[in-house]
Amino acid sequence: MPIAQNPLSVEVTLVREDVALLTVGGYLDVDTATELQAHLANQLHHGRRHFLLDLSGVPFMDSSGMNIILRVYQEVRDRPGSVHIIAPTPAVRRILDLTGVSITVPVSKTADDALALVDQQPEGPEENAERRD
Amino acid sequence: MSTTEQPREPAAGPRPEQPDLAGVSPTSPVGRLAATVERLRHEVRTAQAEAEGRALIELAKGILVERLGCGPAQAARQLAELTEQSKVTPLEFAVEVINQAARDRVAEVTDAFLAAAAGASERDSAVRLRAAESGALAADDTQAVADSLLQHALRPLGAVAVAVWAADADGSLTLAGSAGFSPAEATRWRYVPPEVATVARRGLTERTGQWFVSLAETGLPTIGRHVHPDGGRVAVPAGTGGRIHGVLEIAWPGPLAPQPPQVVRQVEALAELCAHTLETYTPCQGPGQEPRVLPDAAELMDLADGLHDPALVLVPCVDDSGQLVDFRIQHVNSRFLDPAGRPRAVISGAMLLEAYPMSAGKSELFQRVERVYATGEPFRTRRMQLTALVDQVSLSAVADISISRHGNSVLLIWRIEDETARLASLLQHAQRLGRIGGFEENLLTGEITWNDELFHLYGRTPASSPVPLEELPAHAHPDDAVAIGRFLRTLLNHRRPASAAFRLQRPDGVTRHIRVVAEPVLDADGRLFVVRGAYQDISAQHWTEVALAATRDQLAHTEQQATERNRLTLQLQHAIMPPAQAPLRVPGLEIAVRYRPAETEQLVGGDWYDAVVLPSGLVLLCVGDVAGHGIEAATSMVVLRNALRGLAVTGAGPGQLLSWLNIVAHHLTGAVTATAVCALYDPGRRTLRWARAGHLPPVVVRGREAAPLPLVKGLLLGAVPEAVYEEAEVQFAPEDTLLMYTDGLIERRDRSVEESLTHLLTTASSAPKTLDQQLDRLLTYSRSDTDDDTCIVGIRVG
Repeated sequence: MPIAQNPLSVEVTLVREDVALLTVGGYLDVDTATELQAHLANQLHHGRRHFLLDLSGVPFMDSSGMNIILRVYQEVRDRPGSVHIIAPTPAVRRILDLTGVSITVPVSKTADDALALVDQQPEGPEENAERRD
Repeated sequence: MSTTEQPREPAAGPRPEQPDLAGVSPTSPVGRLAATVERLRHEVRTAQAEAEGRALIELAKGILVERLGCGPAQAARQLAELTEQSKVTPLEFAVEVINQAARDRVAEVTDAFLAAAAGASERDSAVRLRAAESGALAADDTQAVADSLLQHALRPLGAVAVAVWAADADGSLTLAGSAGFSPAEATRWRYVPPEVATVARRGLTERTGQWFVSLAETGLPTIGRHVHPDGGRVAVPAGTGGRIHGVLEIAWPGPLAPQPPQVVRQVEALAELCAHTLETYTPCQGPGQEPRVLPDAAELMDLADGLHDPALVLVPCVDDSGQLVDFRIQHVNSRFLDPAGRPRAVISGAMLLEAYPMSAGKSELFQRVERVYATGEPFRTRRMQLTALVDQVSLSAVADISISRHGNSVLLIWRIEDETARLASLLQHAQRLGRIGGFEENLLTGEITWNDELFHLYGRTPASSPVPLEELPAHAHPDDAVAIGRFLRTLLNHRRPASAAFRLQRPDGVTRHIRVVAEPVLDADGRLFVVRGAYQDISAQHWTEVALAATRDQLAHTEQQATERNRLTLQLQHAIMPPAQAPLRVPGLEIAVRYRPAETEQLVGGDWYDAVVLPSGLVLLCVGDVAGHGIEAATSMVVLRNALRGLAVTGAGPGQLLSWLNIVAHHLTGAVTATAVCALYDPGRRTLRWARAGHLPPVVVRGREAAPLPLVKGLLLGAVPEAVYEEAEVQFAPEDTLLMYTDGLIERRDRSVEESLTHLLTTASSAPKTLDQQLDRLLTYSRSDTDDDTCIVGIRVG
């Protein structure tokens, strides 16, 4: 199993006071999802509102990873805040589309693109999903 | 102790050259040891002197002085000259001289035999008598002398019987040997108390030969009088060197006429020969020797042999000055067991202080023996420490001791507590290591014996009193009362070996974990009289076991719980979704379902399928997958599946149904997310309206082509409070097959969903004859590597 050889790495960068960039590397699955969750919870605790998740280093993501993203998405909805996925690999992108997460959580090519979206976001509850559908 | 230069008399004068013994009283234990060593050294010197023949040469010199009527110096020269002439060593010549002198004395007597009766056998008898004279004879030999006297010397004189009496210092007479009298008569006359006037007594008191013509005229009682009441008798004192050792009594059948002087001399010579045998008849010899008293050592040996306990017969050993220095172990009986494990032969004949040097020390055994010998007051004690020194290693045993004086001897009886005392002493070391405390409790006497380790375990001093078993509960933790009660009941009531573990609460506040093992000892009548056993401190072991047991219990509990939960989950799933469902009867439509649980029980998850004909005639088809595994996932699955069935009855479309289902999922406890595909098939129109919530799109197989339906938009269930789901509709043709499945069928970590899906499509496109076969084939060739559970719903249009 490749999981053991590829532990999840999570690097947290504060882009702004309330914007955290998390660069994730490795398989994001049932075995590693809690680690990402711990980092996210820590940043939530410090009051970050916007989360940029760089998944370019994630070759595989299962429903556990998906649930982590959805959970932080729900947490920041009312702050108001946002979750952005940056540069997912094709496999991950496919999962995001498959599960409909990409409907709710915007996917950007770069961190700058994501930041631009953050700046565009109005000071109110995000309504992405509702507006799109 | 290895000093070679020693004064001859260790007790005489100061001994500054012995710093380790200086100032030590000769009566103290150490002093006794020193005296013993000195006496041993003295014996060695004496033996050496004898070996050198000094004593014998001196004796030979003395003989020459007498025979030649010369002085000692001339005798010495004469001896040297004679030795030179005879070409032998001085010692050999000296022995020759002594033997010659002795032969001369014996010849006087034996010539009488030879004169009376010539012959080889008589010569043999004479030789035997000489041997009897020179050797140390016991009672049996005196009897043999009596037989010989009668047969070879007295019968020729007309005598019919002979008795040899031994005189004791107290004036009593003992029949040392007899011939011609019946054994019964001899037994009756075996002892004559002092001052009882008999024929033999007369010979003793008059100190000269008494010749009686007829017994009748003397009126004196004596042995065999009733057989020969008128017979003549002679009583001749048997003495050597001015000391009378006994009396030789000779009986004639009829009146005895006065005898010629040569016969009288012959008889006196025979008496002297008897004196030599009587002299050695005394078992104890030596100057200053107390007169022997009955019973003698021989009888004491017999007595000792009849005892069931180890017994030693001790006779006093005195030095030249008449001082008691030690006791010789004259005899040990067959039951004797040396505490040090030495063979009996080594002990028998040894000196007490040599065999048990430590008996002079702490145990005071020697002092006890000495005191009993001196006072005649018996000594008895229990549990005396016996210590033996074997190869410088002291081995000790505890024994019950009895010491008593019998005549001139001392009988020492000891009962060593454990017959395997030697092993016991070795065991003690092992016990100390294993922290085992041994005990024995006599239920009749209430006597309790503990070893030191047990006192230690109990936190008590060895001087304190042991705790009876019955009082054990008072010393144990109250919670252990039941265990101890059971232990005591088994042991004392059922009389069976028992053991118990309990917490011992010591007076010092320390709690020890103790295991007690005990066994009942029944007496000959089957009554319980002794309980013995051991306590073992298992504190360290106990805690290890407790820790292990707790871990084990926890593991077992967890394992059991998990197993039960898994089984429950599986049962739940099976109850709701049989692995193969009874086929639905829908005209123009073939429906098949497969459910494959995860291979590993704990991975049983929340996959579900459903295929049901709605009241509207539409067929509800559904597969879903609740995230996660186990009972929670399965429970959620049940909720969602049943909810969808219920919602479907409303007649709403699949998109609407999923929106409602999203609300249900979102409000389930535990932030449940799930994916699902929901479809409504219209058999009449052969159309399928469907929507999906984050789930893999169904696959349609048409002819040899297999393709997934497009990814209509729809978020997985439960992620957000409200969600909208896009619908799509597919037109089917006859023989078209629709496959709905959960990701257990395709999920692989090392491959993209795309690749997995391609594989699935390839497998699906090689359509077998029946739908069931197709589903089986999908399961068989599934390339999933996640061991997830898998659901497949398939329909084939008729």
